[in-house]
Amino acid sequence: MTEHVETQGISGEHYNFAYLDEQTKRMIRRAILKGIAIPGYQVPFAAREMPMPYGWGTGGVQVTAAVIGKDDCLKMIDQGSDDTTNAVALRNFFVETTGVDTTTKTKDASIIQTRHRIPEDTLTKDQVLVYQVPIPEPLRFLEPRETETRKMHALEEYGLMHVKLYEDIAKFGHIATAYAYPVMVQDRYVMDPSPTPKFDNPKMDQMERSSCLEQAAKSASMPSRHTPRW
Amino acid sequence: MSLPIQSTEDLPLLQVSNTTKLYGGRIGCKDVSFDLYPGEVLAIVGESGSGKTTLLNCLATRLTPTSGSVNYRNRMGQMRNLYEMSEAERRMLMRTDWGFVHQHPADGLRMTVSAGANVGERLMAVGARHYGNIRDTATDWLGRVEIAEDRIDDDPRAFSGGMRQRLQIARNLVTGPRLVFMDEPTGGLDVSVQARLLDLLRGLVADLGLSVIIVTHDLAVARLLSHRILVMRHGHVIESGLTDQVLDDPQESYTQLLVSSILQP
Repeated sequence: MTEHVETQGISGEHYNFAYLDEQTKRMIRRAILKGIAIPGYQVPFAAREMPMPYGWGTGGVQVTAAVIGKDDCLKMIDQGSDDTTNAVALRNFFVETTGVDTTTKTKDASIIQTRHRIPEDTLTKDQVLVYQVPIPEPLRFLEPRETETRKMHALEEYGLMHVKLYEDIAKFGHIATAYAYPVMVQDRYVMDPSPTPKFDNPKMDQMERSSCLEQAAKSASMPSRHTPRW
Repeated sequence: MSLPIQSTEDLPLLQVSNTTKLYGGRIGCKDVSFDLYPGEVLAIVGESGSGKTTLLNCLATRLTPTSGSVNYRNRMGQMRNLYEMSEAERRMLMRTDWGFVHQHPADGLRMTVSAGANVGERLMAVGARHYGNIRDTATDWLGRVEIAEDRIDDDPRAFSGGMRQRLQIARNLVTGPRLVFMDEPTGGLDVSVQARLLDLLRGLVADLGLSVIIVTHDLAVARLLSHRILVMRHGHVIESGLTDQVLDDPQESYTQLLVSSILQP
């Protein structure tokens, strides 16, 4: 049996530590471990209903909840900033349900959940970066069927990805994709770090830290620590 | 003693034996066998529901047959059973050696990307990466199917039915396939557009020496394009032979009925 840790929030409500029950956290941790073992592969996990709407970071919150501990220090970024409405709301959610320390300084954080930006400071191997990714499937807009995209990943059929690049050049004269720029992990799986801007992509290469890309109800896809090549 | 080396030209490209597809207790197609030779155009005719499309899908690996085998001679001259190949090999065939022209162009095209990208997709799938080369090939193929060069960056959604069908044909032929499957390629087009499309197809098939398996309920299309014909009814092949022979002198009563049902203008 897993240990249940109860937290009393500021509002006086009682929660299991980090809101999710322990079995759910274990399920998500297993998905994360699998993702680390197969860099770039999208590992599905069963998302739970969260007290916030889809598209507001429910998947990222679940990944953070699965890895956070009492001694962690959390930094929350949305739209590249700590003080946007959603960043404040999600940070307060974890304060309420875990009681952990929070920070706005990258250096002091042990877990950073982010949407859009990757911090400018070089992260260390003790830090975890959780990305909120709305659409981790780079082939989605060209091929709507999940059964088909899974097959394409399995067989390394990435010709279609180049159709998108062709379209950009034909329509705009250059590759105009400025965010959701697909990356190839270890010469094997293509994945989409949306909505991270293209200029932040190089920061993911050869990273010291471990990072988890998620999407609610869908996947944990991880360029793991020391990813040799993107 | 070794056998004299035979040219693969004389050997069948596709060997179909006892292919059967059952939908539960119902028959899709039953015990269909034939050989298809390089450069040959075979028409499969029959009324709606006779199993033509089921058979075509079984041959094109889009539907797994219940029993029987389909063997294909690859470019190395080896005969391979399609259903013993790996999925990766089958899909590789689908985008290099084979083409599939759907009745509805929207099923065979990517409607949200430009005509140029539609033609270029198969090239990119087999490794082409140079934008200029891909575009030149796409322009060339649009010309060959009579689509104006300045429409290359338009979406197929902006094309008429006939243009979409021609674009679909260009998209399939760009990698120089050896075998093309067609499912009612002229269905839903008006007669003048049909005539031009058939003329175009006949020219391309002859120029490229393609083998084609074409499914149609239109006997005029079969007569114009095909060398050989299979007549299907209730999932069985009831008559087969040279197209002119079968259509001019049908032996089976059902074939006689089909032929006599053609409207005389």
